[in-house]
Amino acid sequence: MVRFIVKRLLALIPILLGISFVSSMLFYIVPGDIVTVMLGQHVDPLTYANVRKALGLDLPFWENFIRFIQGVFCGDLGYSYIQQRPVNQIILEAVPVSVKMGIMALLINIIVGIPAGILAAINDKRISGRVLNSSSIIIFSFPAFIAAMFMQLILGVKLGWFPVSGSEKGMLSYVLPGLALGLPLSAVNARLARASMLEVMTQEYIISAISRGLPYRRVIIKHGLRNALIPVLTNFGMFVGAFMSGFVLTETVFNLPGMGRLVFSAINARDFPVLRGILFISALFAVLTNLLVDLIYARLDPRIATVIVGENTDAAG
Amino acid sequence: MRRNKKLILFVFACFLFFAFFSTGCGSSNVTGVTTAGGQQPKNGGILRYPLLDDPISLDPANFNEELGIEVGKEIYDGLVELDFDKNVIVPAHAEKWDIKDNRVFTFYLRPGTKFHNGKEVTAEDFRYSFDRLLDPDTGATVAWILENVKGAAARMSGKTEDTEGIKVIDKYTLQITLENPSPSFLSWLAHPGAAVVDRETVEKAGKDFKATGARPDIVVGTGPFKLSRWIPKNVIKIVRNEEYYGRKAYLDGVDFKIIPDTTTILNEFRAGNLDFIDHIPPGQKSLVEKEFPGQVIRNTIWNIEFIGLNVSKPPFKDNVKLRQALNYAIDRDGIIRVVLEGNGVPAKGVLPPGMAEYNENLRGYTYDPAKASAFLAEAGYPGGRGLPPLELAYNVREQNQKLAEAVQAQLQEVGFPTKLKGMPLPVYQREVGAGALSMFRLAWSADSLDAGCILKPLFGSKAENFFHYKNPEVDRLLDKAQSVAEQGERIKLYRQAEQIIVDEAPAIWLFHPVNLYLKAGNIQGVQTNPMDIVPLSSIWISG
Repeated sequence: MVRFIVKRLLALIPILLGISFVSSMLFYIVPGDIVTVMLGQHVDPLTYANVRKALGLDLPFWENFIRFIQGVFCGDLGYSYIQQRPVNQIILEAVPVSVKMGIMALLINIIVGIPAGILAAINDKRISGRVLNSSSIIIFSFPAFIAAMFMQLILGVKLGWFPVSGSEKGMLSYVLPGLALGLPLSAVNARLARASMLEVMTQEYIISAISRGLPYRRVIIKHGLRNALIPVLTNFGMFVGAFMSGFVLTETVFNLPGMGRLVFSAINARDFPVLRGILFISALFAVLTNLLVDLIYARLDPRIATVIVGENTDAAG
Repeated sequence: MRRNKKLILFVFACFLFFAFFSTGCGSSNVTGVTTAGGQQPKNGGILRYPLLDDPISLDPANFNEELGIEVGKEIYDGLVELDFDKNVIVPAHAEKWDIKDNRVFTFYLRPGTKFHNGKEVTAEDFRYSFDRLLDPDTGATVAWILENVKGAAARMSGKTEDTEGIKVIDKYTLQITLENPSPSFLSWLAHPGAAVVDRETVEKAGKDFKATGARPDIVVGTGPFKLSRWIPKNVIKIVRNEEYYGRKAYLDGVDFKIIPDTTTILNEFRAGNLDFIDHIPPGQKSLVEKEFPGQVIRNTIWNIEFIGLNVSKPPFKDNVKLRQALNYAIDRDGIIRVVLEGNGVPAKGVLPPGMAEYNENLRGYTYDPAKASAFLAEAGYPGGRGLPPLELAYNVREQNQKLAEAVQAQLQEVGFPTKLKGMPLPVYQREVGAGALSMFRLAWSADSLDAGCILKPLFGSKAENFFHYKNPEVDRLLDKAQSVAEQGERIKLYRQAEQIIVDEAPAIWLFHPVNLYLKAGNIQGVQTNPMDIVPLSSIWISG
C-alpha cells in the first residue's frame, strides 16, 4: 500500500510540470494585450514599455516558466498582474467562499433530491408521484441564471428573508446561492433516486420482507433506501464537477468573491499568473482526490484493491 | 394517502407563490422623493455606493481606470480642479498660478495643507509625485498626463534621474515647463492621477502601495476622505478627513461595495442596501425611470461614439463620397432609441454639446437614405454593386452588439453589404491601436476642458492612426490652436478643424451618450459632470 501511494505521488510530478508548462504557454499564445486595455486612450510607446516591464510582462518564456517552478518549490505561485499581490493570497481568499457555497448546494441537493426521489418512487402509480416526477423535469429545465435572479428578487428583495447578495451575513448569505446551484441538480438526483428505488422495490428481498408483515415504512427506509442510495452516492462525484461550472454564474449574481468569479475575471483581464495558479491548484486537487477515492475503494472492497493496487497482500497491511 | 395530498398542495403552493410574486416585479418599493428645496446640507451618515470591481490599486500612478478614479478622487488631491459649471479650472493645492505661452506654468501652493498622516504638503512633494509618474520603475499608466513636460521622454526611457521640466522654486512654489505648448495641460493636472503623495510612505511601502487591498497607512493622500479599510472583492471604506484644507465632506464616510453584476446592484438598491447607482443594466433604463420617479439623474457625457473608417485602404481610400454616403445612411435617432433606450444625443460632428468649442452651426449629416443612395452611386457603386462587403468590427459587449446589428441593418437597407466581426476587448483594442481594422466602433472621451484633447489624438497626423487620416490643413489649425493663449481665438481654430474633418468623414458619427444615475430619495447634493465623475464630498443625506 505504501509503495502504491508513493508511486502515485511520484506520478504527480510530470502531471504538475505539464500543467505548469501549458499554463505558462498561455501567457504567450492567447491573443490580446492587457496593457493596451489599461492605457485606453493614451497609448504611447514609452508608457507602454514601462508598464509592461513593471508588470513583469516582458519576461521571455523560459525565464517565466523557470521562475514559476522555482516559486512552487517555495510554496509561492507568483504575483498577479492586475492585483499586484501574491497569487497565493488571492486564491486563499477565494477558496473558502466557494467551499461554503458548494457545501450549502450539496446539502440542499441531498435534502431536497433524495426524499423527493423516494416519494416519487413509492407513489409511482399515483398522481402525487407523477407531479413530483414531472416537476423535477421542470425544475431541471429552468435556466440556472433565471432561477438565481428570481430567488434574489423574491426571497431577497421582496421578502427580505435572505441577503440579496454579498457574503457578510455568514451562512445565511449562502442559502440563496446554494438554492440556485443545488436545486436544479437536486432534480437530477431525485430522478436517479427514483429510478434506483423503483428497481430495488421489485427485488425479492423487499417483497419477502413485506410479505413477512414488516411495517411498510421500515421496509422502505431500512431495506429499500439503503440499497437504492448506492448509485446516487456514486454520482456525487459528478455533481461536484457540475457545481464548478455553476460557480461563475452564481457567484456573479450573488456577489460572492469565490473561485468561479476569480477564474472569470482572470480570463477577462488576461491575468495569467492567477489563472496559472488556479490551474495548478486544481490539478493538484484533482489528482489527490482521485488517489483518496482509490484508497477508500480499496478499503471498502478487496476486489477493487487487487485491481488498482495490484498487490492484495499489501492491502491487508 | 393523506401525506400525498399534502405534498400535491405544497407543490401547487410553490407554483402559485412564484407566479404571484413574479407578476408583482418592478411595481413596489419606491421610496418617497424628498426635494432639497432650500434645505441646509447637514453632516453625517454613510453613503453606500457600488463598484463593479476592485480598483487595480489606490496608487495614483494606476488611476487610468474608472474604478481607481471613482475612489481615488476622494482620497487624493492635486494642484487644481475642474469646475464644470463655468468650464474653468479652479484651485486645489495651488491657490493661484501664472501661465506663459501655454508652456511655462508656475504654481503657488496654499501653505499649511496636510497629508492624512499629518505632514505638511510642500512643492517638493509635488515634484516627487510628478517625477515618480515618469520614473520607468513606477510603470505609471497615467504617465501621459506629464508626457509633454520638458525632459519627460528622457526620464521615461531611464536616461535621466529626474525630470528637467519640473522645478521647485521655493517651499510653496513649483514650476513646470512643457516641451510644446498645450492648453490641455492645466486640465490634465486636475486628473486624480496627478495627485500629491507622501514620499516617505510610498518608499517605505514599496510594492505594497500598488497592491489591491492596500492598507490605510500606505494609502495616504490629502483629499476630503481617507481610507479606513479595504477588503478585496468586498468593500472599500473611506471616512471624512477632518483636517481637510477645503470645504469638509458632509458624509461621515462612504462604503464602496464591490458588486460585479449591474442587475444585482439594482436589486440591492431596491432592497434599500445602496444609496446611489451609476450603472443601470442595459434594457432596464426606461423601467427604472418608471419605478423610481424623480430619483433618476440624466447626464450628457463629453464623449463621441463613432464607427471609424480606415482611409488608407480600399474601399474608403480616396473616396469621400462613399464615406459621406455611409453617414447619410445612418438614422441616429433610431439607434439612440433602440440601443440606448433614448439616452443619447445624435452627433452632428465630433465635439459634444457643452464643450466651449461645440459648434451649433456645424454642417453635419442627417438621416437621408435618398442622398445616401445618390452618394453611393457617385462613389462608383450604384445600388452597392461592385462594393466589397464591409466588415464592421467591435468589442463584444451587450450594447456594442446591439449597436453593430442596428448599424448593419441600416447600411444594408441603403445597399451597403455589411458583415459583423465581434472581438474580445484585449484583442480588439490591440487591433484598433495597430490601425489594422477597416471599420471599427470606438468611443472617445474628453479628458480636458480643451477640445484639442479629442481632435489632436484622433485626427492629428502624429496621432494614434486608427483611421490613417492625414490632412496638413487640420494639422496646421490644431498646432496653431495649441499655442494660442486666448480662448476665443482657439475655439475658432478648433471649429474650423472640426468642419474639415466632418466634411472628409473618416468616420460615421453616431452619438454622445447620456448616463443615468439613480439615487435614493434622501440623497442630496449630487453634482454630475460631463466627464462622468461624481464628487462625493458634496453629497449629504437628508432626514
